Amino acid sequence: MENAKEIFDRISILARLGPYEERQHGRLAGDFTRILELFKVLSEAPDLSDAGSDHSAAPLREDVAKPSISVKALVENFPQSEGSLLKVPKVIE
Amino acid sequence: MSLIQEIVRRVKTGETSAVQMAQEYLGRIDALDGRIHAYLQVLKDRALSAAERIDEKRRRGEPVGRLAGVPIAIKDNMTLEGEATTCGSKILEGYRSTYTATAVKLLEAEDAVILGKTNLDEFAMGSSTENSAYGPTKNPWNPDCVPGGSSGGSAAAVACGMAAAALGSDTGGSIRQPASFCGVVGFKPTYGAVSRFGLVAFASSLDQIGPFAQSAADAALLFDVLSQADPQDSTCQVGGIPGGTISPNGASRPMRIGLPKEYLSHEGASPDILGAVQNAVNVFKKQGAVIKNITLPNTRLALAAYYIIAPSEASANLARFDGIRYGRRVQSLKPAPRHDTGSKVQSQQEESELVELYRRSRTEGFGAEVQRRILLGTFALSHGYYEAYYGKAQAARLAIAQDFDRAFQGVDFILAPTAPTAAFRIGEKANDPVAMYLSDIYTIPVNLAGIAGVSVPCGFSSSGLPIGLQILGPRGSDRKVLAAAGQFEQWTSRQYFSDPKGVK
Repeated sequence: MENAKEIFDRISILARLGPYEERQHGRLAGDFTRILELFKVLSEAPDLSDAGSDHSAAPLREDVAKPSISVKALVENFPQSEGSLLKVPKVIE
Repeated sequence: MSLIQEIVRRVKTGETSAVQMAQEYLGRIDALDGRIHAYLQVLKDRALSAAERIDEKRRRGEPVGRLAGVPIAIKDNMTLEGEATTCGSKILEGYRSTYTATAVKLLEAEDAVILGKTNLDEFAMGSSTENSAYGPTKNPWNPDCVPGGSSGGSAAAVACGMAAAALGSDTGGSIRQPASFCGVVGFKPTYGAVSRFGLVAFASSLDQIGPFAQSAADAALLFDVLSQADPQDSTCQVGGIPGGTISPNGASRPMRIGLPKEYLSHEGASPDILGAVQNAVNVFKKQGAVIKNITLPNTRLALAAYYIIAPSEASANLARFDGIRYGRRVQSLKPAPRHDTGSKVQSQQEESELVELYRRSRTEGFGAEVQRRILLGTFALSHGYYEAYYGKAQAARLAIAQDFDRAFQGVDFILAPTAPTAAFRIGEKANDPVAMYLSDIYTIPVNLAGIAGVSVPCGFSSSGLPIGLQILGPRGSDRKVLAAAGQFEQWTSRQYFSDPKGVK
């Protein structure tokens, strides 16, 4: 079983954050543990599975199939292009 | 009273020009914003050019829009073509938007004048606007206090007349709570009622754009302009928001008001707040409303559910800010030049350098609260914890939404406090994230359920700070909710609206 510090260190790598200086690490890890305490109310709650699956708080509109965007329209909507090619800034120097 | 209608009338009749109107508001920004810091960017030239175009249209006898010459501010997490969008974050320093958000386009199409972009908690994560990388906004009622957040800049700008209205975004209360703290009207529409295309995403299943205004009538007018279907936002409902009806209860029977015991007996609520809300309830009762005590039993799960769901979505939405795809790259580390030898060792080294670049760019670019939430979200979605946290939170969310559905079978509206306290002092909760999260305890359930909610001023604290009343309605009841807020304003003769005392 991982302890809180091990969890924090593993998660910070997964989140592509850190490495932190000791003081910052202590503070963030401490906050992380305190906030997890807040979540205990969910594990202590009675079974929520009867909430039903036919209800959504964030309903999406119906999907409607449409023809794909044309290359011409795509190129026109791009900040820089050359012919049918899209130009992007160089990111690796 | 509609400030917007009055501005439009004056501009349309030529009593004043759009340029004069813009200059008046720009002058007020010049005079006040040094003390308040509501704006991150004032777009003086753009505003004056837009105003000149409106005046020219009028001179040529062409029709002008419903918002002709109305000076409006927008939260700096909405894009405006050619202008910076910082989201209050260092990581977006230097970024210029390549397109304009649909909500802003809709305002401009009705001849509104965009004055500038307002301060916010970084990526809209916070309840005080202290998390901005560009410094906090001050509350116009007392500059030692926060304006609320995350849309604190927009609320403060409207409160002290540095904009006639403003746009904000509300993921867990970020329009309603600052509206309450600054003594203005703040409206969170039904989820899906307003396009979020061009809004930098925080938590996509919760985010909603809405207006701040000096009256419910102004908020309703802005909502009419903003509530349009948009093919660029798949959640934006086509015809989902009924128009026309302005009667609060839509019928001749008395208005039925629900009072949820979970909101009115909360131990963290100050007596000032509970007293002001009770007075507001008495006003509704005196006007013939039927008051019913109701229960929303899963309210106690809301904070936990929200602080799992919102950070989970944020961790995914903000993954793109890594110094390569988006966002400022850390200066002191550059990926090594690629000399491909096909060696496995070289490939691992390059991968490790790239990951280090991602990590350092994100750690230097994001502030502490954003990092905290990305960490929480990554944890909740990670293997071994997903069901116990994210799965439970989603089930709790459904239970909360069903509580509201049941309640709205018996009542037209629910009244509740907007926040448990009036504005708190700058720095008071800055080092205590849990205390800060509790500021949104009354607003969060509304986002989880996707319903409509407005905060309207209903009183003052013992220290003279504004207090907001929340009026909630079921999905699609937006115009009725705003009409009820408008009636409350009339019944109370707008006595809770006044000029902020912290600025003269």
